[in-house]
Parts: sequence; structure tokens; C-alpha cells
Amino acid sequence: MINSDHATFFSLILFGIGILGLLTRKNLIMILISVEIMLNAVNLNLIALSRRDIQGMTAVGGEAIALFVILLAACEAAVGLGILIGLKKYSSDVSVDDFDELRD
Amino acid sequence: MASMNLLLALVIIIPIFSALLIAFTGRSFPSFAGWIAAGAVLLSFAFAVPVALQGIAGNATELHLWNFFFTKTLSIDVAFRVDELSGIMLFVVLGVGGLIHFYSIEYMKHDRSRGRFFALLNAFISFMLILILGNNLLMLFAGWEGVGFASYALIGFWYERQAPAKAGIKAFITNRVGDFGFMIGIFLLCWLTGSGSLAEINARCVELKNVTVNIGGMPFGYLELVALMLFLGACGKSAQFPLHAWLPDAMEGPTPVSALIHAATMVTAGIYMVCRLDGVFAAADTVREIMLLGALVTALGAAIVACAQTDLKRILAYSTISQLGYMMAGAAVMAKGTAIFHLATHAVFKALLFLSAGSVMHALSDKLDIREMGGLIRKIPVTGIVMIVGALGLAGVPLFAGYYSKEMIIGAVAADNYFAAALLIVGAAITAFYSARMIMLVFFGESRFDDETSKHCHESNWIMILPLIILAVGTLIVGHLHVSEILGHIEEENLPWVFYSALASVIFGGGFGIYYYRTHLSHSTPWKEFIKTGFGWDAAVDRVLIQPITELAKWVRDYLDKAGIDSLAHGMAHSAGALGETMRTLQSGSIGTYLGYAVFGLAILLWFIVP
Repeated sequence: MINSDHATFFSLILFGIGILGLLTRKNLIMILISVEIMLNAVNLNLIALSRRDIQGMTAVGGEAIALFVILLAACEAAVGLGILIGLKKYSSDVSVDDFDELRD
Repeated sequence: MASMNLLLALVIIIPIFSALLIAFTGRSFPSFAGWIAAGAVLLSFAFAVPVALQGIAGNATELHLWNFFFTKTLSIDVAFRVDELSGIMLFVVLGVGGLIHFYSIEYMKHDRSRGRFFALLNAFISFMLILILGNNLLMLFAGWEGVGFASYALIGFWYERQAPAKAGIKAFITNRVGDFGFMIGIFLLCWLTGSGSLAEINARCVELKNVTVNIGGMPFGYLELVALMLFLGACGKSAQFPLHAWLPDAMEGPTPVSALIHAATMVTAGIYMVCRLDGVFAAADTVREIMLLGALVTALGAAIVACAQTDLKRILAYSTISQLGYMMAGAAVMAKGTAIFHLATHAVFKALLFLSAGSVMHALSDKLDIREMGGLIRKIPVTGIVMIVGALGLAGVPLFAGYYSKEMIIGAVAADNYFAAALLIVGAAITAFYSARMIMLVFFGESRFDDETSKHCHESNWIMILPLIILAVGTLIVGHLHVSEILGHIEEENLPWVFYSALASVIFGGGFGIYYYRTHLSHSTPWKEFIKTGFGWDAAVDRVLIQPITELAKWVRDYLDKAGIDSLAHGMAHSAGALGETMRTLQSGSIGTYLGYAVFGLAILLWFIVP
């Protein structure tokens, strides 16, 4: 029987994958995808926890927040991809190592 | 009385306004500065006359402006008061001051920074008015410090040269020593009486006479302590021994400044203060003994030193110190009338002498050494005659101002102490001697200056001569005014021996001076050179006080400041720099690294948040 504990554990694994991808990948597209994975891990966690009964009651707040996070993820993807297209003009492979102007 | 208040306000405001006006426009219109300055002081004098006459008649004018500050126990107003004493001082300060301002128009005509000169001169008059008219100790002190500043700035007027700049600093620092005592005196008085008002303090001193304080187990009279501190302040300002050494050096300033500040008005502020707080001094018998002793040392010592000087203005400076000693002696025996009388006469004849000396300098292209003068009466007769009148006033010849006031001081001192009076009579003989020596060496005998100087030698023009003539007439008149009686009856010993011996000493001293220097100089001897340096006082102070302090200052600079504080400060700066140098490598600009930091930070946060 799969219960919400399994879902929580799965979301932890997903989040770890996301962080790993964030730190190791050089391509900006891959980094964005990692961020999306992390967001989805968080969503899964929210939903799983909201399925739990707490003193006989079910909290639906987690599901509501998950909807907001999906919205946020969409916005973030739109803005992130927009920036990415801009950066594409300067460097063909959008590797993070090509952009270190933030130092100055 | 309302009109009197208005006049009093005008008297004070006009010089302040004029000083500011010249300070801001003097650079653009230097030729008007002198006329504005002199006009302002003379106008102020015209307004002051009715107020001062009212005050002298016993109808004091009081002007309360606003509250300066108040605490639970002490309230100080910005307030002015003209009574008998300040009335006389008003005449002295504004009358003599106005004439000196007028004289300065011509004297300073060729100086390029005369805007600064007249602004400072007017500022001095303003501060002096605050000093003499202030109704409480704090106002008096504000004026006191203000005139000290003006004096410093005017001694060092020609600051491009080293000697005036140094003399200014010396005057200021010496005064600081006195002011330190004066301030402590003021604090102690305010603490004891809970009031700053001069009249209230004087009134309460009788009942407070027996208040004592314990210092190291010894009981001291509280008022004795206060009086001692106030006397220290008076010593600084009025150039009394041992704080007298700044006054001869102050002669580096322009001659009108010497006349106004270092002879007629500012240096008498100490005497004025002692007379103003006579209630305090009346309750301090022991301190008055010390004052009398100090005054005698000053009066005699400075008179002897004056005999050996060869610089015309330094003769007059030492003479001023000596005459201030006479005033202090009068104040010490609680005969404030005589002290103020001598103050007034001295202001007139000493201003006259200084201004004549300025006229002599003008004629001789700024020469001051009396060894290079002589026979000038034929070249500049008007200056010569007025200066002789001034010298007669100084020497104390009958009919001239100094005779009456000096005689009264000696008489008042005789009522207290015969020995002191005898010493003052000896001092009078020495005064007459150096006055005669000065006049003989400058105006009579053979001419000792070169032909070049002789060719340029000329009488000054009317702007300079007019004040001289007015002051010469004043020297003849002022002695016959009964100034001393305004301030109450004086215990005077009308002993014939005092009168006759004083007169005899003047005749003897003056006659000997005239005879001795009738044709030529006397030779310089090592003894005379030693006396000329003020009995080596400056050198002694230098060795005992200034050199050790300089050494200490150097030690502090090298070991405390440079090695201690500086290295601490530099160390902090350097370590901050090194830290920054290390930290800047963290900022690589690489997005990947930054993301790593972010995750690391998140991990730390979680570590603390998750229980």
C-alpha cells in the first residue's frame, strides 16, 4: 500500500536530484530544468502532507499552495527562458562558465 | 528709563554690527573700513554718554534680553547693567577706544589687510563692552574670553612674520593659565551662591565669609579659595607677576593695538574684575595680602626692567605692567575707587604715549630703538610736546593725571601697610626716572639716526595728530575729576610724609633721569643686559616649564601617539584590508559557484531550523 510517507520520501529524492543537477550542470537550460524538478518536488511534498489526517481532519491548504507554486513555476520558466534567449546571442552553448560579469 | 534701555542696547549693538559689516565687506572696500569702524565706536560713545552719566549718578540702567540657560539651581540671563563702575569703564573704553580707532585710520592706511584689522578692532570693542556691562559672571567671562581672542588675533596681525605669530600664541597660552583659575573661581562662586548675578554675589559674601572647605584635612576659607582663583585670572589678563611675560612680547602687534588693548582697556579687565567682585575679596583677607605682595613685586620689578629697555614700545609695555601693579595694590587694600581712578587716568596717558610712539615710528620709518633716536623735538614738535605731556602724566608730576591717582593709591595703601606704601613711593621715583630717560633719549640730545632717515622724517597728518592733542588735553583734565569718590568713600591716610615723599621721589627720579641722559646714552653693561631681559624671567620659565613640557610632549608623540595609538589604528586598517583581500576571491562571478553558496546556506539554515 503506497501512502503519503512514500510520496514524501519520493519528493526528497526528487529534490536531491534537482540540487545535484543545479550544482553539477553547466548548461543553463539544464539548470532551469533542475529548478523545475525542485519545484515539483516541493509540490509533491505539499500535496502528500496535505493528504495526511491530522486529528481526524484533512488540510487542503497544501493543495492550494501547490497550485500557486505551479503558477510561479510557469512564470519563472517564462522569464528564465526569456533571459536565456537573450544570453544565447553572446554564447552559442549557454554554459554558466561563459558569464562571470556578475563579479564586476 | 525705557529710553535708557534703548540707548544701552544701541551702545552694544553698533560695534557688533560694524564688526560684522567690515568683516564681510572689508576685503572689497578696505579704504572705508577705518571710517566705518571709527564712526561706529564714536557713535556708540555718543549714545553711551547719557547712559554712563546716569549710571555714575547712581541710577543704574539694566537691560534684560533673554535667558541664556537655566538649571534647577542656577539661572543665567543675557543681561547688561550700567552702574557707577561700568559707567566709568564705558567712558574709558569707548572714549579712548574711539580716539584710537580714529588714529588707526591714518596709521594703518598702507596695510593691505586693514579690513581684517578694523573688523577685529571693532570686535574687540564689542567684547570689551560685554565684559564691562555684563550683569552676571557668565557674561563677564564671555567678554573676557572674547577680548582674549581679539588680543591674540591682533598681536599676531602680521602673522607672516614669525615674531608676532609667536607673541600672539604666547599671550593666548599665558592667559589660558589665568583663565583656568578664573573659571574655577566662577564655578565655585556659582556653586556656593547659586546665582551668577554680580550684585547678588557681592551682597551674599558677608554672610558666607565663614564657610570653610577641607583640603587634605586643613580647613580653608571657601571665599579665600575663590578669591585666590579669581586673582590668578586677574594676573593673567592684567599681566601681573608671575603671568606678566606675555605683555612685552605683545608689542609685536600694530601700535594702535598696543595702545587700545595692551595699555588702555583689555589689560585693565583684571583690575575691573577684582573691583567688580570686591565683596568676595573683602571676605578674603589672606588672599589680599598675597595680592598686595604680588602687586608690589610687579610694580617695582617692571619699573626697574623698564629702565633698561631700549625698544620704545617695550619701555611702555613694562611701564604698563608696573602701573597695573599700582592698580592691583589699590584694589588689594579694598580701595577700588583709587584703582579705578588710576585705571582711567592711566588709560588716557598711556594711550597717548603709545600713540605718540606710533607717530614717532611713522616719522622714523618704523624704527623703535631709542638708541637710534635723539633730538626729535626739532623734527616733530607736536608729537614731542604731546608725548612729554603723556610722560609727565606717567611720572606723576602735579597737575597731570597720574599724580593724583598714584598719590591716592599710595595713600590708601599707607592706611593699610606703611612698608608697602614706602615701596610704592620708590616705584614712583623709578617711574619718573624711566619716563625722563625715554623722553630725553627720544626727543633731546644729539640725533643718532642716519641721514636717510632724517630726510624722510616728518610730522604725521591731522588724523593722527588730532587724537593725540585730545588725549594730551585729557591728561591735563582727567586727574582733576573726582573719579574715585564715585565709588564710595576711601580710607585714606592723609599723612604729610606720604604726600611729600611721593612728590620728592618724583622730582628726584625725574630730575636724575633728565640730568643723566641730558646729552647721550649710557653704556651697556652685563647687568643692564640682564635687567633688560626682565631679570631673566623668560629664560627661567623656558628652562623650568617650557622645555620639560616640550620634552614630555615629544615623548608622548613618539611613544604614546606614534607607537601606541597610531599603530593600533593602522593595525586595524591593515587587518581589515587583508580580510577584504581574502574575501574578494569568494566573489568569482561564476553562477555555478554562487548556486553552490546558496545551497550551502540553505543547508546551514535547515540544520538550525530542523529540530
